[in-house]
Amino acid sequence: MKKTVLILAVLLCSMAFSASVLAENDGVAAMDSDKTVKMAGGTPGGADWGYPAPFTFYPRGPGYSRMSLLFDTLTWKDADGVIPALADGWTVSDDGKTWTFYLDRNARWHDNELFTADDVKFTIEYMQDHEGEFTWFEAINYINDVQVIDDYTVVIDLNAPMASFLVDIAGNVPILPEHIWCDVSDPRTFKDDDAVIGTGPLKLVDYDSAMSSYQYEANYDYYDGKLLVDEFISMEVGDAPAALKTGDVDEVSFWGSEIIAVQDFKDNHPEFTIVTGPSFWVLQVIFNCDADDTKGYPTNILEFRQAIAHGIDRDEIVSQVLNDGGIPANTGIMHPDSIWYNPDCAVYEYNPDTANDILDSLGFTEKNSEGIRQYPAGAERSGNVEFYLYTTGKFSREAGLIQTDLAAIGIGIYVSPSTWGPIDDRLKAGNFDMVISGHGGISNPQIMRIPSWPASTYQNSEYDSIFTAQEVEMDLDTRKELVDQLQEVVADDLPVYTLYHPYMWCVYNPEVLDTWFYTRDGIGIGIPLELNKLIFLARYGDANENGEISMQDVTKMERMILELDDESDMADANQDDEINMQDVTHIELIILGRAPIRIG
Amino acid sequence: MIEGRKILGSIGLGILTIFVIVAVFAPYIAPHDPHQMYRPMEHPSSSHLLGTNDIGNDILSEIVYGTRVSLFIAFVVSVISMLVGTSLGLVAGYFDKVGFLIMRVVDVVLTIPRLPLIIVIASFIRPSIWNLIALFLIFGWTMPARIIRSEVLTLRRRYYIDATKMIGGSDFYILWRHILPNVIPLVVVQFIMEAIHVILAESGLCFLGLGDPVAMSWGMVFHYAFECPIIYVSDVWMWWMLPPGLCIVFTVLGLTFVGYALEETFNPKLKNPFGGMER
Repeated sequence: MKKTVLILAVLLCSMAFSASVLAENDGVAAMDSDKTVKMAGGTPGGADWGYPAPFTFYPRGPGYSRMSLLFDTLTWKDADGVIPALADGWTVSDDGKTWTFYLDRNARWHDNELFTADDVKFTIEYMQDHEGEFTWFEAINYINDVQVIDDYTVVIDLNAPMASFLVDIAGNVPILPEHIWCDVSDPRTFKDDDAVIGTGPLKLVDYDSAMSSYQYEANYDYYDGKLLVDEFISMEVGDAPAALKTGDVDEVSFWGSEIIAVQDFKDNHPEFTIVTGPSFWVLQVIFNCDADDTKGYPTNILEFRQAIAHGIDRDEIVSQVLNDGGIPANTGIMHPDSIWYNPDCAVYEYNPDTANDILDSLGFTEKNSEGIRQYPAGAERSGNVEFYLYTTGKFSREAGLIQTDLAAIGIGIYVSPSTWGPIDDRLKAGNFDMVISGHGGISNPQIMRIPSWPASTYQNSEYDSIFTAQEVEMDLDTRKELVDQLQEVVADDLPVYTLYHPYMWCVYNPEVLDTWFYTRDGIGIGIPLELNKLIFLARYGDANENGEISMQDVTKMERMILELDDESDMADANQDDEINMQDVTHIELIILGRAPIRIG
Repeated sequence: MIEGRKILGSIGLGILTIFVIVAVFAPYIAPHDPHQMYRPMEHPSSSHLLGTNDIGNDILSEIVYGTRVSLFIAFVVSVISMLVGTSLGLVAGYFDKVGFLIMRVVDVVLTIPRLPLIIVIASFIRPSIWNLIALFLIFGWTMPARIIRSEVLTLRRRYYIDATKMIGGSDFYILWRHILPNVIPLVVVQFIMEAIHVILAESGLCFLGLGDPVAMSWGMVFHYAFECPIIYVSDVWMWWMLPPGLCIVFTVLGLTFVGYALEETFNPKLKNPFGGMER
């Protein structure tokens, strides 16, 4: 009797369960009209990049890009370069110090308040009042004054001309709603729902730190184009290639050693599209160069760092760990594909003999039974020359090779795998000897401000003055020479020893969303990721609605304005022989009666 | 029933012998140096029977050398745990006051969830074989200590112990000559239980990336295989992930069989199903 009851109960339960599953499936079917795009948010070392408000995102590229979906900047970048965003257009005075921005009249905040020039003024003053709180913004002191001319015109006055103002400030600082932030005294702890109200094309629905997931919905009232999606989710998945194949996610990015997965997609799965990225990223060994021997010894000795550089076989790392999914890095940090690249930086030939000779001449001559060198008598440290090498688990293969390489020159290494957060904290605190870490943005000289970023143990006043000089240098060739010098100093002084630049790929299902691209010179100040908010937008300027700005679009507009009948050759407004957003902006300004302008 | 146990025991012993031989003679058995790098991601071939991994190491050689690491850790931890656990168990069972103190410490350590705490500590310390061993030792001694103590508690009330005392046998003499030999079977079974536990836990830690990245144990091979982005979407798992997994399974299986067979040898009640009733 009891058994029968039990069986009945099990049957009932399973029926109820299958019914609920069916109901759920119905629900999914009903929602099919809504377009959801899911991205595998995992980047090396994790997928949680903090609450995507302007002051609380984790200060690395993926954190900024998740915030930038919610907040707009005055300018932005697409695949070709700088385009208008909250500013429709701009002019700059001849001395390069006074910038006038003409703002979009249709922009609204997510809470439906109007966006005006006051918000721009407020944002810059707020950032200045809370200097250092927005960790992604380092040049705020270049701004002298902000004047509101009318609701939609704002003038920004600089202390000195700034070569990269249009990208590094106008294209980087998220504009905040004054009506919300005026009452916020401690922006780092402000994590309300109001903290994520911006003007961007997406609104935040949910952020889950534990699950590393970000859920956004479309802002249908967006001022700068029509939304292509209804919902966007960035989530962590265990096995990204499998998730892409089964449709659990619609886009995955790969890099470096993951070339084998990309090859698999290329060979066996033509239904997915592969975009190759600019790979503006560098992996490097960061040395503690603190002049204070209690902290920096012995890595603060230049010859010691040079010995390590000679002792690391970068080519082997590229061929074995990366499977040739990257290239040995420029020792001066900037990427070889960038216009700022200096090909003449010092190169450290892999040669253990040279390394051993240097270490011997430094007095590290005694060795223990395992061949590990001993510190010279009377040095700051004693015993074995041994270090912890901190790195994210993702780079433990690289760390393993370096460990083997350095053992051959008598330096002991303990590899300590961790995650981005603790390692960055360690670097900022200067509590390390050697770390394997990396960063993007190496197409923008701005990244050279702190060459060992995020560590700041390397101090060189001469270097700093060259950096400042290039920052205000408006002549491109002279500035390039200065940036070349910076790279040479880094290559000679070795605050970091660069290892490699990984290739990057974005693989996606074009049936779900076909607009993925890599931004020219990276998103914002140079983030080499594919998560640009423009992928969610069908933007204005697309007169023939083919999803691209083409000659036809511009010609059509131009003919409308100029009331021309023939196919004249007038469409190239900035005369660079290419049609791009600048041309469209130019024409838009003609319509609005603000031309001619100088385009930065 | 009894025959079955014997057969299983022989099989288990056979498996373990094979692994021990592989571990001891790894340099002669492995076809390549496990650190030598060849072309990465090669499929199995006559020169690389299990192919090569993501950085070009010969996978078979890695696994052969991994046997050394995995068995070494298990052996060292089990031996030390047994030495410490047995000594403490003997003392705790024989001397009431000291025993009380020791058992309270055991109680405290036993209430701590073992694996989660090991994971937490392992993520903070330098990953190396010796640190892993030290970590396992923190917990390894408690179970044997408790089990040995309870056995000693019954043994010390036997008449022959009283007799030995009456003719002037010292405490140490009694423990050494009369009690220790009687608890050895229990120690051996505990040794095997501990070895099984350590092999599984070590693989688990390595799999989570908390092991020594350079000491290539089976768990580490498994870990790097799991990190490979195409491990599930191609055939790679068959020669990279499966073999170290099978090694772990077979070692644990071998240990279990041996333990099962020994249980019979040491527990006479199992020889005769009614043995327990006769007393």
